[in-house]
Amino acid sequence: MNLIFLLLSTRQFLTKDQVRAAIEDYRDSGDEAFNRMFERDKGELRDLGIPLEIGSFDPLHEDMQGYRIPRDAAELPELELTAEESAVIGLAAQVWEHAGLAGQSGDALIKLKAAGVAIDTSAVPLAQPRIPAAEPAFDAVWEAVRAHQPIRFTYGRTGEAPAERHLQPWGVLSWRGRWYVGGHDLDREGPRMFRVSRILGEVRPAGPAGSYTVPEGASVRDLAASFTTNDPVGEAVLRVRRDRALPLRRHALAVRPLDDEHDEVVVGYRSTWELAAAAASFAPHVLVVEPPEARSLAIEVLRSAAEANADADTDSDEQALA
Amino acid sequence: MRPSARDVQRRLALVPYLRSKQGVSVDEVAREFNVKPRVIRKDVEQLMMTGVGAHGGELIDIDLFAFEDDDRIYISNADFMTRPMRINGGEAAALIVALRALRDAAGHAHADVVDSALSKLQGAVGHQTPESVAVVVEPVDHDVLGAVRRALGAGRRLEIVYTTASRDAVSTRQVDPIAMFVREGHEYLDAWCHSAEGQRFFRLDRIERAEVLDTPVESRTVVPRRGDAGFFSSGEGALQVELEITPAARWVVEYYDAEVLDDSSDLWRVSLVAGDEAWVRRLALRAAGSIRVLAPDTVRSDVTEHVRSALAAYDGLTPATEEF
Repeated sequence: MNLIFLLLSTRQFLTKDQVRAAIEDYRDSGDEAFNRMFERDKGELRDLGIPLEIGSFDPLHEDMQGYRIPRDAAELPELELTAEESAVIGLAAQVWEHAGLAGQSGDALIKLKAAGVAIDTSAVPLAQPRIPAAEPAFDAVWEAVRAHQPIRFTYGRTGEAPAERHLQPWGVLSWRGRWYVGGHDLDREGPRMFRVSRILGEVRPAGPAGSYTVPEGASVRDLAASFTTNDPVGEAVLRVRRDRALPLRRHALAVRPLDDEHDEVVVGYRSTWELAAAAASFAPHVLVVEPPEARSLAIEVLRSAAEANADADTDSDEQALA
Repeated sequence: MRPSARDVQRRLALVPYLRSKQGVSVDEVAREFNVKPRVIRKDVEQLMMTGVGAHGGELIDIDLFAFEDDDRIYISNADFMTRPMRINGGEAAALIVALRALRDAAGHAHADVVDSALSKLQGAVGHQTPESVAVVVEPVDHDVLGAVRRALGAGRRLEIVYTTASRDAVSTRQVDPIAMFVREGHEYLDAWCHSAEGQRFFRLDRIERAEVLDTPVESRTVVPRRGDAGFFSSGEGALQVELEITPAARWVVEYYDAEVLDDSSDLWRVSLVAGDEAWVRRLALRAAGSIRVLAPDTVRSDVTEHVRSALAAYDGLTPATEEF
């Protein structure tokens, strides 16, 4: 603390000897102990994100290096926030369900409060997202993404043999409460997405920090979208019981009553398989009418489910698998 | 003992904070800094021993009478530190990612406020803009969201048309909203449900319609909950389920946090907690034979029963099928 205050208050560069003379703990230590303490404290400044400037105050003696903390770069600049803006920042500081990141966003908030920002989170009635990050590998992946550091890890899907992967991480993504890391897969030579919870054991560095650049315009969100959504491939006609299958009805392109109890519902679908499985899950209230291939697949899905769940004596050698 | 990085951060922020709030009480500082009052007292004691040098006039000065007798803090001789330190890279990343998640959850109504807060914050922290982190929150109907927010803000009762997904049933209920939160990418309303006469969670994307009523919410002692692991959206009871799954259904293990009871052969035996029987039935129906329900037995017969009715309905649907 004394070192920070001293170097912050000086406009001139202070030489190492001057620093030593001004700080009691340094002054009372032997040369070797002082050097060790000074290096350690400089490291702490770096960890806190406080810039340390090294320069010379005397053009005739350039070897007389000195230190100071540049006030402009070190201090939080003036920041005018409305009551609503500071409220959303206050809410944001409560979003992380991860000790380290919750602590860091809290520290940022404290700095704003110290700069005179009053924070009243009740000024804006907002749903507060919670971002959990309980995956054991999350911290290492998060740091690697921030440092642009290539990583190696063992990756295993449930029921498959684990394999060694080698990645230049571009970013992390939280989707449906789970974290994914996306980047350039060095073995498969292409962009890949990995679920962080499937990383087994330690994430190891595979090169120095900053040893690659993230391609222009590569966003994890786009990468994720390309893995998670496809455009509809066609339209399907369903026969749906009135007031049933609301999740399907919500995405309906058209709804026409068929009789007192049934509607014809038209939906877009992304794969025949997905459509058939969705219809089967609402059995018997949803029937696929068109297209015929989806209809026969839906019937097949149902038959298989019945066979798999038939009573033990009737399904002896008829285990129908998908 | 050497102070931790967190202690140093807090003490550095305390100096400009205390300078601008002369005479503030220890309790208020503790609240603002989200620590115990004794932590602040220790901080102040430490600050008194620091300064630009070790000599009398170089140390930070605290009014000891006010501090020890009234628990109030007056600071002087600290003019060298008028502003807090800049928000560093790690802090900025954490806060900006959280703000972006908040904007996605906010929808159009408050997106402007969040955006302007974001841009001011990014201006103040400098260059860091972590494009490398994204948090995806599922979109919600803005009419519903607007009504829920208005009801929450004004303390009014809501009438909602709600789908219970597991039962595929729709109901109209009157609820007193308590709070909103996001869990696993979905937004939820925590409310007192007058139909169920209890506190329930409602997933916002399953609210078909929402109307703010003139009735104010009843005063009631309720504890806002976040919904811990394994909770179900409308607060129904938990059901222990046992399944036999083929390799095609192994995703179930991770997706539903199932416990693997036996993986000695290709057919695994797993157990998980479900909301109700209808949910399990629907899971088995869509699994195309890759899931056999071992327990409860009633669900297994339910599955075959539902398939029978559906197949009969398909038969009735096909004009070419002969009558039987």
